[in-house]
Order: sequence, then structure tokens, then C-alpha cells
Amino acid sequence: MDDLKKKYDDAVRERSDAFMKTVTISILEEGAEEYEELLKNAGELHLSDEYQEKKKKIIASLEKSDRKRLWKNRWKAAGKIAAVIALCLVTVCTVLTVSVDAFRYKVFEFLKIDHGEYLELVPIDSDYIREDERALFPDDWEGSFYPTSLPKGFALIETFDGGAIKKLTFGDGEDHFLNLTVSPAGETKTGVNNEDVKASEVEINGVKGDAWEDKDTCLIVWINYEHQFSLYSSTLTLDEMLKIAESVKYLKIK
Amino acid sequence: MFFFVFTDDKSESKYCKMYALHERVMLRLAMNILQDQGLAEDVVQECFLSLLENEKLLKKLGDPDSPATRGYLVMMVKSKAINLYHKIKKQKDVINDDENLLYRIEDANSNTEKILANAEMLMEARQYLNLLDPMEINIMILKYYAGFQNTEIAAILKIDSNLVGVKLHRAKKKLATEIERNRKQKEAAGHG
Repeated sequence: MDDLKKKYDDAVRERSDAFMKTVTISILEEGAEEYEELLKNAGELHLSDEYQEKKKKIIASLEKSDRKRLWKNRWKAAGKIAAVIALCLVTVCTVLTVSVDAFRYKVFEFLKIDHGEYLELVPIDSDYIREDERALFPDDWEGSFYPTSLPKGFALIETFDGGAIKKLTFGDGEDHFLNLTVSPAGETKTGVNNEDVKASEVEINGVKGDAWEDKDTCLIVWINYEHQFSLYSSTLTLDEMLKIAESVKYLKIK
Repeated sequence: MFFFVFTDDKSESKYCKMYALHERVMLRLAMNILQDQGLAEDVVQECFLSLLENEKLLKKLGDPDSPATRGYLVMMVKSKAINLYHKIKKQKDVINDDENLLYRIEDANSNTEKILANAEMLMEARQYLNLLDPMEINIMILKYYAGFQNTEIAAILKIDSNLVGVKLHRAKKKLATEIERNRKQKEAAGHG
């Protein structure tokens, strides 16, 4: 019952408002007619200097408020666009930093973050390295990246400590060589003579890398564990090189 | 010798345009009521400031030279000029009659609303104008034409928001009373 009464009351009010609106519109039309009459005699009026001055001030003040409002709206719009762009950039950079080692390295370098704090390589005990091979490593090398799967006949013949760059050379005793060079990612650059070279993208344990082959040589470069690896040989095929690359582990030396 | 003055419409602001279109008419109307150009100019400036500061009202009225804008300006000038006239003559200011703030605002059960809900536009607009004072007309325009709420109307006219409700109620009461009187007259004429 209360609902019905409320509906009735609302309907009455709505009709009453509609009538008032009709009256208002009629009054406005009446006002417009009166305006027409007044217009006939209005041209003779002279406006005082005081009036003109005050008019100028009012108009200037209103225009100033308009300009302020316009600039405020423009800044708001620009701010929104900048915020969206910044959000997109942050999202993309975050995803890249998490998923791409080289990018993460560059970010850390830019922010002057010590990579060592974030990467701790723990060397694995292993029998892959023979005692005579261990003797070839410098005394201060606790661990080293080492391929645990080598072609038959290949053994470590030389190590090189260039500070940040560490190089292991393997040979089979018949002038066939294999070099593994390791350096912190981003600190070294590898130059490739790409004349008559077949370049391809490869994958080493889920990490993307690049390979270059010509009739005599094969080079694979990839980044993992925040290190850049270069595996080079003058005798092995790409498939053989990939197998070796996938077997690289960080082993205990001393 | 002829001097040609070129004006660039695009560079003339909407405010200058509004003034140029209406100031003389508004001044003529204010002077008819106040009989003093200085006071009339003050009223005209007040009306322009009140209108031009309100973007929403300007948008609602539409074109600066529309019939709605002209009608509204006429009513606004009348309202302010008559108010000022009463103040100057030191008469009781019927616009700000504090006693009437004790009026209760109507509800839909009152006869006023029902009479208005069933009313037809049987009177000329001029007769409605005669019933209502300029402030009531001004408030009606802002409420029923421009669609403002009572608090917004109070801010535009710089009056108490309770007064807006009181004036609306009074306007409705006046119209309902006149409509009922006409209806009874017709019934009596019919029976007679």
C-alpha cells in the first residue's frame, strides 16, 4: 500500500513540475517579447566611462579564469598521458629485467648495483677435471665454467686469466682446438667477421644465443648466469658445439 | 571620408559578445525601474557577472542571442532592479522576508501539488507574470528551465538556500490559488 501511495505522490509531483516548467517557458517567451520592445529604444543610451571601465575589468577577470582553467585541463590531460606512458615503460622494463639477462645486467650497471650481490656462483664438486688439468688453472681460481661433455680426444691444454676474461683452450693433440671464453655480461664485446658467414639463432638450455658458421669455423655466443660465453672451434659442427655448450657447468677447481 | 573598422569575430571573446548584444537593453529596463543610470549600470554589471560566471547556465541557455537568453536576462534585471528599488525606498524587503522562512516545504499530499498536477495552461503567460514577483520568476527559470538544484540556485543568486525553497513554494501556492479561483468561477458561471 505504501508503495502505491509513493508512486501516486511521485506521479503528482512529476505532473506538478511539468506544469511549472510549461509556465516557466511561457514566462521566458514573454520576457523575450519584452526584450524586443526594449530593443527599439535601447540604441540611444550612452554608457558612462565608469561602466566601460568596470566592464573591461569584469571581462578581463573572466577571461583570465578561462585561461587558467584551460591550462589546468591541458596539464591534467598531459599528466594522464605521461602517467600511462610511464606505467607502460615500467611494466616493459620490469618484464625485460626479470626475463632477459643482458637487459638486467645493463639496468644494474645503470643503477650502479653490484651484480655480485645478486649472483652467487657455487662451484660443484666434480671428477670431470683430471688432476693434470687442474694444475693448469691459476691458484686463485676456486671455480671455473667447464664443459662436462667434450668430443673424444679433447682435453684442457691451456687456461688464460685476463682479469674479467677467462679462457679455456681444449685440444685433441691433432691441431684441432676448442675455446671457451667467459666474461661478465656487458663488460666485453665479441666482434664477428660476418663475410660469407651463416648466422643463426640457437638455444642453449632454454637461453637464446647466436651462432655463426663458415666452412671452417663455428662460433656460439650466449649469456647466462650474468656471464657471456663464447665457444669457438675450427673443426666442430654446430650440433657438436651446441652439445658442448649445453654441458657447461661451474665446477670446483681447488 | 570613410573610416572602416574591421573586427575579427573569432578574436572577440564570448563575454564581449554577450555585453555587446544585451547591455543596452538591460540598461534601458533597469533605468525604467530605477530612474537612475548609475544604479541601473550597477544592476546590469551584477547581472552580467552572475550570468557569465556560470558556465552551466550559459550552456543551458544556448546561443547568446536566443529567446531563452533574452527572456532570462529580462527577468534577472527586473528581479535585481526591483530588489534594489525597495532597498533604496527603505520599504520592507519582501524578497528577504525572514518571517516566511518558517514556511514548511510542501509535500505531494498538499492540495497545491495536486491542483498544479491537474492544471492546464488556461491563462496567458502575462497573467502568471502578474501573480509572481521577479525573484520567484528568476528562481523558477533556474529550477524548471535550467534544471539547477536549490543549493545551486542559492549560490547563483547569492541568497539562502532555504529562501529558494520558500520562494518556490510561495510561487506554486500563488498559481494554485489562482487556478482554483478560476475553476470555481467557471463552475459558478456554468451553474448560473
